[in-house]
Amino acid sequence: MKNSKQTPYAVEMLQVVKRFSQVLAVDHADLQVKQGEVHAVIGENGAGKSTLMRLLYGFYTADSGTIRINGETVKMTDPGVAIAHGIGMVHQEFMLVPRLNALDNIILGQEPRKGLRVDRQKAREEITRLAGELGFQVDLQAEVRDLPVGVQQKIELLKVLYRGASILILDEPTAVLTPQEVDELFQMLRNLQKQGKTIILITHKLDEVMAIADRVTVMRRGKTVKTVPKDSTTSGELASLMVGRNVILDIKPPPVKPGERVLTVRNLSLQEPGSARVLVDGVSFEVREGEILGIAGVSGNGQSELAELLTGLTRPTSGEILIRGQEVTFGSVRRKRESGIAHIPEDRRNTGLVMALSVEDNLTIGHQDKPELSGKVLLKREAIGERSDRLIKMFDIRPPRRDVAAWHLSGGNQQKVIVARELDHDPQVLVANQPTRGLDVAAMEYVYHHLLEARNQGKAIVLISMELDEILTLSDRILVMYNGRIVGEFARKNADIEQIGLLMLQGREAG
Amino acid sequence: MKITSGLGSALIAVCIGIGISLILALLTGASPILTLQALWVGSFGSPDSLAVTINNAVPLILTGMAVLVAFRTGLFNIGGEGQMYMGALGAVLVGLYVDLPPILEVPLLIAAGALFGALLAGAAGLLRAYTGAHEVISTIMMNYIAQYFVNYMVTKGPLNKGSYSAQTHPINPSARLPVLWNNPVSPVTISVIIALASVLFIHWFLTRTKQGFVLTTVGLNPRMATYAGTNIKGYWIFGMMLAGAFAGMAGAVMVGGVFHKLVANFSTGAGFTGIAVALLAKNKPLGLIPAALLFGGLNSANLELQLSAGVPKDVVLIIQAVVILSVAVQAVISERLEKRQAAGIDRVGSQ
Repeated sequence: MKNSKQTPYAVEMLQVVKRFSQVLAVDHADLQVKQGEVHAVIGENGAGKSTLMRLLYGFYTADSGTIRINGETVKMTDPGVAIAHGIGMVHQEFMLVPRLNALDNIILGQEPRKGLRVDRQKAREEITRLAGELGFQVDLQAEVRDLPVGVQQKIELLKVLYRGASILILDEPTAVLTPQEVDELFQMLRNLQKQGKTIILITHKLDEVMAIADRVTVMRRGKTVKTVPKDSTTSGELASLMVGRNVILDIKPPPVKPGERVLTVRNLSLQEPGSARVLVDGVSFEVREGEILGIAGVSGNGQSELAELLTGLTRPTSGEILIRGQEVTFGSVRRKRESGIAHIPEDRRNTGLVMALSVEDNLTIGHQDKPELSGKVLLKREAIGERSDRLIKMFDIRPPRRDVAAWHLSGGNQQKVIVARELDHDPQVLVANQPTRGLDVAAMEYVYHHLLEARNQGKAIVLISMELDEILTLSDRILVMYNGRIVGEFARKNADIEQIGLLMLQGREAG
Repeated sequence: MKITSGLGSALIAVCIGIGISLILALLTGASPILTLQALWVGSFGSPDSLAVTINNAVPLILTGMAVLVAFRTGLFNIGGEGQMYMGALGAVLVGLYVDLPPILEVPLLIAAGALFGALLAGAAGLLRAYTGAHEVISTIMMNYIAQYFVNYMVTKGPLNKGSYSAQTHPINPSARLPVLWNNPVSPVTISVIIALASVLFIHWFLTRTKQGFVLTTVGLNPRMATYAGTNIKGYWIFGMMLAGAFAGMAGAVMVGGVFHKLVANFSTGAGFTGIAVALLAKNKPLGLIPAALLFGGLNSANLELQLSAGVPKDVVLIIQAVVILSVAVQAVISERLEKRQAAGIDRVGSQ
């Protein structure tokens, strides 16, 4: 294949911008992919990788910027345009019809015809040839729903190749695969590369990048931070680039001497019901009075499940949870709350609030049994109103009215309602899961302020966040979670961003 | 947005319903003015028709309540009909076999009806909470079970009075609901007070009590309620039982106030009409009263429409159907408007 200096880039995206209402998902990003290379696009969850690829595939149209395919400027208005230019995408969630067989899934929409009939024989020959070139076999008669995930992915790949794609986008292709299947996939990708295909691989796993990519583009917060050849970088450098360090807020928590042990977790595990997957794997830690324990990790590594186990929304498979020495492992949410656990949930709209109810009602939920707010049957509406006004004032909830429905509030003020309600339980332990997700800086600062104040009052806080900056800013100690396990622990003063980054992204420190 | 909320939108729905029916009347050659007049006279315009309307409306308020309470718990109770049959069975058992002074026996009869209805609906709640069986399916099926079980009891079963008619013996005179207005066509009993008291009770329960508050959160967002420490399964069962109690009371007032015995297939579908009534009432307890009066009035106007306007009585069904459709369409429209509005406020309101 020719690779002279004149050869244009296979894909060139210049100063591409995509905004979703408030969020700048892709911020003047540049991506240049050479023909015939495996180009990894890496970044944390929400860094903008998938959006950038969807812009390239025509799922979304860019607000501004230029996209060139093999040197030709293309207006990507829909996937049809992308396909016509030889781009194919294997999505994270497969787009297959479970009840059709593999062959029909591959040719669906592109059936070769003989008169009025579908020429399946021709299709079968063509696909068998394609599969052979890649070095694998697929039972084309099998119904897709009966096939393992790894094989379904091969079918997706064949589907793309059958449509004549020369530029392949794979969106986190290894997320659903076993290690053996990953090896097979990479072998297939190498074979494709030999045939001259260009491959763009989206991932947040550094091992994979080091194993297969030629060049790497790192994205962070919608921007393309850097593009480097793999051979001239290290996983350590990539990790630092990915997680970055953006000092959003200059907060220096005053030193507090941690007091007694409040929360003890021993060997806590959760197995996914009906499968062998272990979501939380033998987690142990403790949190003391006046301490914020930060749990860092890329999303989907068991942190959400851990929060649900601690707060009683899910029952663990094994292990122990103790509050001040008292066992509450298998307790219900109510039991856990009664023993002093409060919870700021990650999903504000669906878990944290009843959007249709007023601010007052939302502040009251969970407190309604307190003797000062109700008798056996009747609510003490007056006391409830006074309490609401007090909390609205204390937490500066705007508009300062208790009768507006929660959905009329901005995200930041919704979060204030939740924080106010949970802290008003005067908890021993506060589990804060992604407490600032989607908030602007002012609201974020507000939440930080309240978390630190709670800490200074001697509460034990478990802070789960995908934002490493947040963890580093607030935590007294930091645990790193990877694949359901705790893979590292750092005291605040020893926290090393590169080490933490590596642990988050590949589960171990050395590259 | 005022148009799409509350009373205003319900009135619009009713006007659309009547308007379309007038057009239909016109197309069949009848006079729209006579039709309107017949509608009025047949429903509210004379003492007799007013009495019929009220007696139609009472069970509809109660079966509407059975839908409303379940809905407020986040569940769809389609089983009002079956719960009403069970309630009638409970009531007739008291009426036949208990002999107490009316001051005790009448409340006992109503309570038995409520209990039987609650037990049937509670079974659907239990199934939902512990097996995941959807309450729409189970309540629909239980309608058949209850209706045929009651029919069996009064035809071949032990409650049959022993002749060839499919009914029980009359209940004890002391079990009859006291009459408030002795209209010759349709005497109005204290069932009116029971229905109105039920409305006030649920209004109070939902707005003033702790349990009503928690039930509301469960209905609006079960996930959030769980997160806050509520036993939502318990509330599902409780909500269904409370709902079923009202449908059961509907059956009890039919036995104690209208038939004074239990007759096979006695229902004219009040259990199902209750769904429409609750819909028109926008699931607000106080809204049940005008909604039930409307449906009760339309049903009572049947005869008058045929006799004096020459309009087939099916026009009433058309009005009801169009009213329900209008309400449903408005619900969709107002939901969209609210979403758009909420989105707009989100944009403006963020600091």
